[in-house]
Amino acid sequence: MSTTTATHDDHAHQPTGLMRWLTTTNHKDIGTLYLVLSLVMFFVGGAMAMVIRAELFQPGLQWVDPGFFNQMTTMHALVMIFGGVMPAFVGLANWMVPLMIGAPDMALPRLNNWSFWILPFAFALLLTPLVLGLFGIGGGAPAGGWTMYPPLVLQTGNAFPFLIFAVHLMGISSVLGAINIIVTIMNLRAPGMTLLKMPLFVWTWLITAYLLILVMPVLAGAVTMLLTDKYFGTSFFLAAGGGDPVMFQHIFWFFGHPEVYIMILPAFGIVSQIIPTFARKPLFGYDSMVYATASIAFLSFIVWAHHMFTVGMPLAGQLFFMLATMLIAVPTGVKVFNWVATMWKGAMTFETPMLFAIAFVFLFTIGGFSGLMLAIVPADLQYHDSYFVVAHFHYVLVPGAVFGIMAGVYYWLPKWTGHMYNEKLGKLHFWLSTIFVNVTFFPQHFVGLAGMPRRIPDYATQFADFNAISSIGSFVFGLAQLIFLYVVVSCIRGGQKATAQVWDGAEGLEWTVPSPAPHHTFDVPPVVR
Amino acid sequence: MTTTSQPDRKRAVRSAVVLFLVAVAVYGSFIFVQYLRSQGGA
Repeated sequence: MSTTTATHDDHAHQPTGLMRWLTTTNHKDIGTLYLVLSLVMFFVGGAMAMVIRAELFQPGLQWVDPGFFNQMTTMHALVMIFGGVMPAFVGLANWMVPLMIGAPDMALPRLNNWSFWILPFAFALLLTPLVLGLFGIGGGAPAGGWTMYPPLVLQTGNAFPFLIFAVHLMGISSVLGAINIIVTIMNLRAPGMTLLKMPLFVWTWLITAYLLILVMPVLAGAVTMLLTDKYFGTSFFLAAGGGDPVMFQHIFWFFGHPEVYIMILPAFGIVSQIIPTFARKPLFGYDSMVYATASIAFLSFIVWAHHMFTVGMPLAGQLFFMLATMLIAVPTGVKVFNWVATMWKGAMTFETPMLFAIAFVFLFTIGGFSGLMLAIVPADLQYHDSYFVVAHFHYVLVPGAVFGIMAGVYYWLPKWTGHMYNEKLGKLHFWLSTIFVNVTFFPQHFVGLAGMPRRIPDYATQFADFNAISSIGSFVFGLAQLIFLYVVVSCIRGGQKATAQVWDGAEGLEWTVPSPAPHHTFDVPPVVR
Repeated sequence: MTTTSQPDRKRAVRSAVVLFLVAVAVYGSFIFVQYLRSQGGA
């Protein structure tokens, strides 16, 4: 793609200090805010994971009571999904989508500011009962699982409305953010940038944004009904009043399964940017990547009940949801094939972003395969609610989504800061993360297959060895993330100057602007040929 | 200052409003259908 660009750094007067961040409408500032929030949430959610793994280090109750353990599993999931992964991808989109399509900013910058600033309040609400509980005030955080199944969740004490309003706020933020991304991509692309010339990261985010608009209101509807069931006398999900608790599960997973793809499609996009750069070859099968992404998004709407095989459903339903789920392997396989084909005979180098991208391809595929195992109805009846499921979705979300985010951060950090990060420490972070993410989660397959249920603070002694290994793995993995924090902070503070292109195989509009990217870019739209 | 032309902005706002209405419709329709179910309909 050959391009002509015009860029200037217009220092229009703007507030400084705290007011700059509160009032900013600049996509780069807002992207930074999202990424900082996400990093904080990753450490908060990570601390909860450390509590969980410390308790599970050996059988018996060691550190926390079972009620608090349940609070930890519930909050760990909510914080990591809604506070860690999703804001990280929105932050990356804020930073990179306008730069990649040659737009001066997001289409609706004030809405963008609002979308972000809703989130700190949402997480303050979500975490308040937990913090108060630690000081002995109230009953602590919600503990009924992140899936919020009634009737259990309706037994939550005063934390319940905090949870429901927090979820509503997160949903509003996500929907408004998604609207902004869609209208930006559809309206502000540089002249000449047709849809099929857009970088894959932009494509995956466009499709993700549509998923968000279609499913976040479903979650909001479900939790609104939970709220009215608890406080306003309705019986949407209460069997005693003629309601149907199973219907909640259907509605929740109609949101929940697309949500899984909301958390992985942008990572697909990031990896699709990185592999061509470091293989120094164009992406193999660009068009098929776009169609595969769209196919995955479509299929994600017709597989929800595979989370509910044990609830019971007609045989036709079991067959439909099993086969539809297996069908997702086809477009996903297309993607994995294309990434491998892009690397094939490429002039590859293995800088940190590429290492994370390659690990993503391998390890996400392991998560995909265990997903296929779970899709088989008779097998799922055995695996359901076991640690095998925990291992499966952590392979999808940690070396999948989180490694995708880390790959993206290392890849674009020089563009954001104007400095190269410390490559040696980056590689150390990569190897520690990759080794110990496997030490953490691979043994969980074995204990799961052997029958260890999820969401329990204590377990039978035959599971002790693998749990000890898993806990040690998680502690080292957690500590390794401090290296990531150090690398990012030191890169912001200084380091070797980065060029505009940064990586010699990098192509695209974002690499035509100086590093660090000026506050305002593409005031005059570039022309894409 | 970032600049987008007036027609661009109008189109963007119009698209955003339509998308927002879609989101509200999805939210409302799920609750409404559940309401009908709880009344013995749907």
